[in-house]
Amino acid sequence: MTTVQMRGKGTITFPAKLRSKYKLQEGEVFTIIDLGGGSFLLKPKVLEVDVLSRRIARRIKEENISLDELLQALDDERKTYYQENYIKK
Amino acid sequence: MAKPDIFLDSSALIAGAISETGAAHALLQLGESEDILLTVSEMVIVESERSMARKAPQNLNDLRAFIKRAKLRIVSNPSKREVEAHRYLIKDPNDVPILLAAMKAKVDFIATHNRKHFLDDPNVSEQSGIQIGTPGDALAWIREKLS
Repeated sequence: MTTVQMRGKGTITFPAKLRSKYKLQEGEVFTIIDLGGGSFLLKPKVLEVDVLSRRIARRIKEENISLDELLQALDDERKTYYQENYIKK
Repeated sequence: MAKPDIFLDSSALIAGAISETGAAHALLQLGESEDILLTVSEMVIVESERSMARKAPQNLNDLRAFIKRAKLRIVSNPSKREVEAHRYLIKDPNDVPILLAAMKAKVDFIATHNRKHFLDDPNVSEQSGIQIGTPGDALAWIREKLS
């Protein structure tokens, strides 16, 4: 088990052994996946889903559309899809 | 250890696509990073795309790219006959194709925000033999598996 300590401004030093093992260089960008309950997963890459949802979230906010509205639309579409595929001949 | 296989209902998929934070988005991050398997059915894809096309059409291309990047396993819808034979599984018949697709795909967990038909009815989980919860519940379950 490797432990690290958070220092000023949230700085954490990545252990040298792991930097060497995974060839991690200065400037490497990581994605932190928040697993909840205080657990995190650290990935040495930028995830495309983050880039895309950032863009979608910005537009949704500009259009003033809420999650509830989208969930209601999903409910309507489910009924329509069921009618089209499981009721109609 | 087999990777956890989570079926995303369309409500969880959309919630994860429109926010960079939250449990639904974390599930999709874990899908892209291949730490878990994410499964949806054809019906989930169609209703998600149609809803986005109706409410916020400028996002449709990004939603499609998002679905691709999250490395979702897309399974076929059950047939009319299968749906008819499994109407007893859940109160709302509209949800039968979703539940049945998840059962046929043998997933470990269904993540949904559908409180009325899935989350608040313990019979659905009992009848299907699949754990059902919110994206937050699914994430907590994954956390347990990983720790």
